[in-house]
Amino acid sequence: MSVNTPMEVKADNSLVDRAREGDKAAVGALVDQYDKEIFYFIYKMVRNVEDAKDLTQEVFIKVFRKLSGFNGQSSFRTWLYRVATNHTINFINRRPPSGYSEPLSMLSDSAPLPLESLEKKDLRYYLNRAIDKLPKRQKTIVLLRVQQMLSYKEIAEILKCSEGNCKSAYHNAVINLREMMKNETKL
Amino acid sequence: MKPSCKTIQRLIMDFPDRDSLSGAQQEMLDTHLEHCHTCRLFFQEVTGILKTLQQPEVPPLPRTFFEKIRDSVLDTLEKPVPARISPREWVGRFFNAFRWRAVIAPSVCGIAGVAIGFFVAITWMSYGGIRPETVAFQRVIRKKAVSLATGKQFSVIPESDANMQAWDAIDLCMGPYDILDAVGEEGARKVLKDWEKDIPAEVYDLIVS
Repeated sequence: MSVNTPMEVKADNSLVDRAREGDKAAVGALVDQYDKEIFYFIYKMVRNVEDAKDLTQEVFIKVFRKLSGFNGQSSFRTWLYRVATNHTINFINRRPPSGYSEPLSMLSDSAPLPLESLEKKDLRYYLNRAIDKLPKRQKTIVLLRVQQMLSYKEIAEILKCSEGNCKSAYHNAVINLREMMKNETKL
Repeated sequence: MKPSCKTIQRLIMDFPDRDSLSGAQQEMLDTHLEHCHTCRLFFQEVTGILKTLQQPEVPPLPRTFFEKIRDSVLDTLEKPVPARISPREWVGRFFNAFRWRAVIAPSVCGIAGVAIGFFVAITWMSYGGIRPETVAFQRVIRKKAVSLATGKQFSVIPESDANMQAWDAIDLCMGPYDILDAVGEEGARKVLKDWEKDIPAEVYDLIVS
């Protein structure tokens, strides 16, 4: 989940061209390539497995139905994130998240994760709560920057704002998170 | 030139992983943190938060989970896209809906209302028709009884709804006995008391008997 290399961008563009011509294999390949990171990003935004699954499907359907509108000015990945971000924020605005669903580990077929220390679990729990309290824009930027590890340039393209604006929103978000964590741990 | 705390704190937020900083940046950070307690605290707290956020929160999901997503996407894309409705069609639909609501819906409601009213009226009638205790009815029936008994002209009665209903009820009656039945014993006594002067003796006797 790091920045796409020029080679990867080129490969994506080739798949996008084929998908535009109706090549199902290319569509499948693009879904396979990005479904995980888009799902996890949406899951972190909505914190509900079923909602995240439905939204991921909807995002891909939307993207491939509007592929003619993709002009190649940004990378396919950035465009995909832009659609995912807008679609998810619209969803959250329409219906606020109902809360935490079953843990994703229930769906995992891998061996259970080694038990984290209670401290780490607590920290993660409070962090998730604090992130959910952030304004939607700040929350999106933090998730895109820290968890999806996108560059400021990519985030700026996704959110259609300047890099400076993104940086400033990110810094404010981190400072807010720090303050909230301080308050939480005092409790 | 010494960097400000703001610059250092931004550097920490942008690069929570110290190793990703250049040599010069690392040196600048270390020198500043050595002397600045506030930024040292900021560094500890923020790197803790950001590193926790960077750690994978969830285990990898099975491939089948994502295969279902892909299959569902491909299936949906194969289906024809619902036709896009032009603004003109939207206007047409609106007016069709408007006409439907303006004409058909009130008509249906009106018919339903009449039907319900009719049903209620029939039900009410079947439970005793126009009730004798209705003042207007009592007045009319009394007059009619006397009119029939004496053969005198029935006086003009105001055409209120209650009176008209009473007229209908009276028309259904066969004769003075039916009317007297409708009036009941109590009503008959009132008739006699109010109108005994005008009633011939034989009719009076008949009623009393």
